[in-house]
Amino acid sequence: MSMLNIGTSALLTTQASLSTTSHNISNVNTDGYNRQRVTQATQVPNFEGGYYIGSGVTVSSVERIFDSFLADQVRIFTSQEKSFDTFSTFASQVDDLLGAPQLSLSSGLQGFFDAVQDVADDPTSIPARQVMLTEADTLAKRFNTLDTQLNAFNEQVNINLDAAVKDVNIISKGIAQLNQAITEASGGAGVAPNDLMDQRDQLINQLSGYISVSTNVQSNGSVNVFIGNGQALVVGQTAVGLKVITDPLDNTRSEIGYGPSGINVSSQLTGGSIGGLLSVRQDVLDPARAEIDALAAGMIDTINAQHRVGLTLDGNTGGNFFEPTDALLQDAGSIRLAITNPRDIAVAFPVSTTTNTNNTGTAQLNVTKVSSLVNPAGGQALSGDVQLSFANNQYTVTYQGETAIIPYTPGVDSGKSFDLSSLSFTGAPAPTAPDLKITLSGVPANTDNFTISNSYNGGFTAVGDNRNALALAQLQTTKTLNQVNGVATRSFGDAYGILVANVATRTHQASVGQQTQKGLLDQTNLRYESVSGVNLDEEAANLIKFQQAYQAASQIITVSNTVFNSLISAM
Amino acid sequence: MRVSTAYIFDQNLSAMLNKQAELGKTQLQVSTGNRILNPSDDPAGSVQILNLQREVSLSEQYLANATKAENKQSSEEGVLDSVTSMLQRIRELAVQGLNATNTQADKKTIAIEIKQLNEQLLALANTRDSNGDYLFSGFKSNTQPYGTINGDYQGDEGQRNIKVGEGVLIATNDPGNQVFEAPLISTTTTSTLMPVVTANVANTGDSAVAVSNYVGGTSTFSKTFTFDGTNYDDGAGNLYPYTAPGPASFNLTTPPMTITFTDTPAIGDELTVTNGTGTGQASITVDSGATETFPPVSFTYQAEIMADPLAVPTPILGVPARYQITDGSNTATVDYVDGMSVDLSTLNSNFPSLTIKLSGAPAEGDQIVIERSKTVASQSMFKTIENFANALTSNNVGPNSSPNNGDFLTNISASLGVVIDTRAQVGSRLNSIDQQNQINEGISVSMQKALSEIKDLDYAEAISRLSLQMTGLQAAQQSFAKVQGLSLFNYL
Repeated sequence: MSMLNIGTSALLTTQASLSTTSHNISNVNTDGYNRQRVTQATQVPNFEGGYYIGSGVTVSSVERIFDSFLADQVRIFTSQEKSFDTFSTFASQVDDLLGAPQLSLSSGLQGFFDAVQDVADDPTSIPARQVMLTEADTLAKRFNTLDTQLNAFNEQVNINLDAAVKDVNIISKGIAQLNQAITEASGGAGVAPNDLMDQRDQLINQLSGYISVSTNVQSNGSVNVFIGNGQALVVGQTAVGLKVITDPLDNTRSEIGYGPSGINVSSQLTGGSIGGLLSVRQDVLDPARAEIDALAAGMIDTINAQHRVGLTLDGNTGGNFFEPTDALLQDAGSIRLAITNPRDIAVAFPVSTTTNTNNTGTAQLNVTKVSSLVNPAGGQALSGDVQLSFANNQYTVTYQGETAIIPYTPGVDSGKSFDLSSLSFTGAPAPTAPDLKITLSGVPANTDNFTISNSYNGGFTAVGDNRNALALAQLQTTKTLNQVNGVATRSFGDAYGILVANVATRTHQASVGQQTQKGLLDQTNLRYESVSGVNLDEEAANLIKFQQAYQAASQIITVSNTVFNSLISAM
Repeated sequence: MRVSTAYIFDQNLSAMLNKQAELGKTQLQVSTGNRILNPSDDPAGSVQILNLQREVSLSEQYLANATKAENKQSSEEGVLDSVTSMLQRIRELAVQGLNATNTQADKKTIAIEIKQLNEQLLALANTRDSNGDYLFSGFKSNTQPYGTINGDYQGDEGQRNIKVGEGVLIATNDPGNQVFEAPLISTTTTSTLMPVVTANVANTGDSAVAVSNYVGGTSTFSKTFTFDGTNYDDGAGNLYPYTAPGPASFNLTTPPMTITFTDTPAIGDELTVTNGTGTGQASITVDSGATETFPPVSFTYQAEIMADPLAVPTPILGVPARYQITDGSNTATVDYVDGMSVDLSTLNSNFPSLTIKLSGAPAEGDQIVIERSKTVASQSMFKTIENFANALTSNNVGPNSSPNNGDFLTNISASLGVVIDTRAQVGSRLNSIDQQNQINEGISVSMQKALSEIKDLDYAEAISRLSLQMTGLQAAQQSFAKVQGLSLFNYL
């Protein structure tokens, strides 16, 4: 082989290196680009009988600097980071919503119960009653607004799922097409089309931003992509589509369906924005909606129950304060005020107490609780008067001609509460005991007696009675919700606080998780980029190196020319 | 380790963006003054904030309630203050009116003034508050508690409570019947004149009748019993069978008494029982225990028994006219002189502290009973005052008139006592409200403090953090620009 040939091989090889370096430099900002390097090797030497003479250089390959382990790591952390990021974005919107003072149920409840207390302070004041209705309406509207907002978040999850699924389908089609192109380009010769592979890896990376994927490289160079529990998204040159389906049980929820038949695979999908959307819906939106609905339903029932045993300013039965009363329809979206006339607020108790004027003792009787009415339409809690007469450390209770006994030792039992409904009356059949709770206090003298009678008896004058308003006000701090073993464990405010805390904790966790995953992703990216990324200084140095090599190779041609000329001129 | 140019660029950029985000958050904290911008910044803290805010606004509501309760109580106290001074004035007028030196015309004038004051008292009892609700009608806010001077209480006994603290209820009204009504004390003096029996001078037999258990007081009557051989006939259709020598006792209903016939009457004998005509009187002159009730004290007159040393078989010692005094368990005897005064408590320490003037000409067996009792049921002060004013107008306020002078003063004092007791209760409620206010203010302050510690920003820390973050961002920006300027290409 001649020197000219060797020089030419050097020039060609160096040109390839210069081109590759230029390619690297020009793609320094191309996403997913992995730097390339020319691998060069000596040409097969010529045997000159007894020895070999080198025959120059040749390009053995242009290789892509790529570490598939690091690439996998990047995908895994991308999926996780994206999942936390999506979760955190949605959760903090719910968090903002619940924390906003203008929307907070906490201040709504406070405003309502303050107004109830104002009515208790001035039971006959129409303005105070009007304020109570307005505050109750505001409270109901806040429930409605929260419900609307949470529904809007749910709808947003659906929209985002839809968009994500569309993107996933486009990407998986792209991967399938690239698989085909790569298989064709390699042509069985095993020469890798580096830039096509970069594009495919970049698409798989993008896919991992939507959902966790695993990959499997085939011998023909194509890559199979799997999601969930091994559902194939791309097999060779075929992409299997995902689609958004509607939950058959709840048409407001979108789920992810796999393949043409659309089998629901939502529960198997993790990672990426799709995984983040599904888990934020399950862990934040669903519980928040359920708890707000439960709070609304609990409030309707509790307040209505108290309101129904009271009497209005006109002596009518209180009726329901909030609607709807059908348990199946009660939720935060439907709660609304049932009454519009301030006179219809039931502030009075349906019973009143009379102390016999001939009593000589110091005993007192107070009705503390009315649990139900015997004649709801007529506002009557009793079927006739209840008389309590004291003698010898016991009160004899007379009701509908029958009697029952309450033991009462003055000085020991003073201030004690008694539930009349648990008394056993004489008579067969015995009358249904009055559904009242009373407290007895003081020291009665023998024959002292009290009468409890219906406040409404054809007419109603006890308009200044505020006992039912006080009982309503008491519901602010009484634990009425979340029965555990038959004991209520939460007040309205507690329930809302727990809801806010749950959402806040989830959001906080997601935000911390996102930071952690971001850190891990950055580290992995750093490592990945340190292997595959383009460093311009390095390329500049290479440029100089290859330029020099080229110049040197050119000199080989020159020298070869000179040598040839010398030979010619010598002839 | 080699680094990728583009990646380093990205990394630096995102680091700068992060710094900007942190800076922005700190700036928002500084401008809002809140440490926690979203619940997720501090989930535990934000729930505490919700709870603390609830506590703070609850205690503020309790303070607002307390102000209302205080206003209601103050206006009630004002009314009770006026009632007190009016009752005192009425009492002064009553004392003046009872002064014996007053002429009837003076008494009438005083009675008129008392009646006017009574009308004002009634108006006070019917006071309404700013809502137009009656103060003293219990729960029946729209029902006038006392329609007229003599009317009964129309309200009920409802006491409206206001919540001034968790589990602390303060009553804000008092039912009128517990303010304007009191049990009445009344002193009565009852005379019972022993009936007199007269036998017809034409009687031929040996007939006699004795009267016992007479409870007819001072009513006048005359009953004549004629013996027909088997019965005494009272001429009004009643026959009383009698067989000599008796005795035979009969209980009569008009007047209630027991008559006992004895001896051997002849047919046609007539016996007449008529009311006694004694004029003995007992009147209270000094009454030092006017508020205390006492059981009936009876004064029974026993006429003078002349001494008869010649009586057979035993000579009779003379006994002067006297009164037997007994309250049922203690007895005493005083010799009677017309116009004498007896201090009962010196006779027997168990007797009431009364000085009684005994006068007139009583007959044998005449009895005077003095008794002071208290009604169980209460009566409105308006009725009591009205009755007294009427009595004063008709000059019917003597010692034996009811209501007599001492009783009225006692009863008006008792009413005053009830009013003053109520004022004391109002005062103690106001006191409780004050104490509860202090507690609520204390709670509010400490809760606000706790709230501020959780919620509010530590400005010193935040400002220094802000300037640190600004310095950091500035350093990052400057170094970024400088480092990005470094490239080998600069030298090609």
